[in-house]
Amino acid sequence: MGQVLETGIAMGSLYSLMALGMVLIFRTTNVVNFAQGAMAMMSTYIAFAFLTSLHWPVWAALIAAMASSLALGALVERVFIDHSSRPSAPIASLIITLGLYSVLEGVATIIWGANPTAFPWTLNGIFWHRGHLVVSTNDAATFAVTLILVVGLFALLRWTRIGLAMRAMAQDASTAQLMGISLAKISSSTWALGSALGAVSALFLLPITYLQPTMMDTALLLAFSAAVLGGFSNLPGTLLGGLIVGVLESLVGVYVSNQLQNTVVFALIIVVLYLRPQGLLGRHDIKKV
Amino acid sequence: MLNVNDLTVTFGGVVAVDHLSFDVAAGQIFALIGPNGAGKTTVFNAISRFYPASGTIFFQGSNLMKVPPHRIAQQGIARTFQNIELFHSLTVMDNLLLAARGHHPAPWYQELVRSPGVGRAERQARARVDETLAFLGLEKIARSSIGQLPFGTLKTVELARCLVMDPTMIMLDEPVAGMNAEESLALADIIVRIRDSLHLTILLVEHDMSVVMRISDHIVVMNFGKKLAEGDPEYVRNHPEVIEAYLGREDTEPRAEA
Repeated sequence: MGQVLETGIAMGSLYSLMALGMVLIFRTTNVVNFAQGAMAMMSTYIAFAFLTSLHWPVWAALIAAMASSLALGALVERVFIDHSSRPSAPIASLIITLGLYSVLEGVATIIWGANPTAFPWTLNGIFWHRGHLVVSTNDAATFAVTLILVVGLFALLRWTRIGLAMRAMAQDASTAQLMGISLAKISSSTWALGSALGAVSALFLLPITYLQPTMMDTALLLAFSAAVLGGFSNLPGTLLGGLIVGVLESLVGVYVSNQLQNTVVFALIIVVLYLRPQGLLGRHDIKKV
Repeated sequence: MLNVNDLTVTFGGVVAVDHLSFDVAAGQIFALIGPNGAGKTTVFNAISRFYPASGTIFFQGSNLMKVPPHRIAQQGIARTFQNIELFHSLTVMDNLLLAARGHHPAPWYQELVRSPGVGRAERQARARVDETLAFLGLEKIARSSIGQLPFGTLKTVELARCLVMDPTMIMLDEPVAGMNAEESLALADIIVRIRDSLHLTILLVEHDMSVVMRISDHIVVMNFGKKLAEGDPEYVRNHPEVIEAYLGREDTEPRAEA
């Protein structure tokens, strides 16, 4: 049971990171980024390319992957999303991110093929164990990195000027603009940050999913559910939602059936949303109309 | 300072502002008055560049028609709103920080890696905000969130927010609306004090005639988007057409509506 929870929390942390990225982007720019997983997948392939083709050391390849994910987020925002100059219908940006999702997977398939590949470097071994409870090194690193990123994200939002501007833009973009804040800059920062959170998640999922173009499909769906469960504009709720989804998935996998994992998770989410349509920690007044 | 020439704003078929021209001199307290729907706030919004408009607006020699909305603040123009546009879930302090120039985010690669200039600019902005809070006596409520404060206080907070933007001109849209007579006079005094000690130019839309007549140097009266009359308070108060259209026939004594 302890082991099941441990695995669940590790997976849940990664869904939370993905989901926090999505929610951050949604709150600030009003776009649900369905390409979140595919963008993260591209970053892991970039790390792979640096490791195998250019023979960079692991740390440099990981830094390159993170830098590329920040840049990819900002680039996607600049090219496809930028609402600051030309407002467009929310449905249009939804289609754009869905389209981007399949285009990125297609591009990855053309370049690297559809077969799952093992990433040439993983965190092996056991970090800590007592009795039947084993914490692998990958899980321990997942916990540590998630904790650092979550605390860092909340500190950024609470105490820095970019964080304050993100909160302001989420609340009332036109007044923020009037304060002299460039919505374009906030918007690209948010996308860069959101994309990087997804990339971290993807790098830690590699030992489970292997490197393949569709590696983040399930994670995207679960992260999206986690975000919805949390209220979709509420960051602590999203964190909680991710952990719940991860633990549920793990419990169902062990005690019910591996095949039913997603089915049961989604069924429970539907029940929760039926009882609390605004999400676990969400409030009714999510967006001002 | 501000030269508005032939300004016209139309919404569909409705002409909200109709070939309006006026000039505001530096250091003036300049009031725009007129009945509801006369187009006063629309003039403010045109200067803020919210709507497409024809005609020209020059501010300190630069053509505002070529300036995007988020650069208006940089030009030295700050404003308040009729219905208060503060960020409701944020504190007074955060609302002011957002407006302070040093607190405006740079491109993402500088902000997210927190290059050295970022922290320095943040600290300077904080100092600027503290100074303004002290100037208007708002230190005690710096950490309160906007949602908890009474309307009259919020008007002052909005004014404080204008000041941290280091403007050369501020536009106040009904600064004393919703205040009682005592509060109104106190705020009117603050407005005069700001003009005198900070050497700002003030453009004002206000319905409270006692305040307008008390503090304005120059008044433009609008009706149906057009200029009806313009002059000093004495001239406007006695202008027959103004009395007819706005002040009301029997209500020549200025102490009218709120």
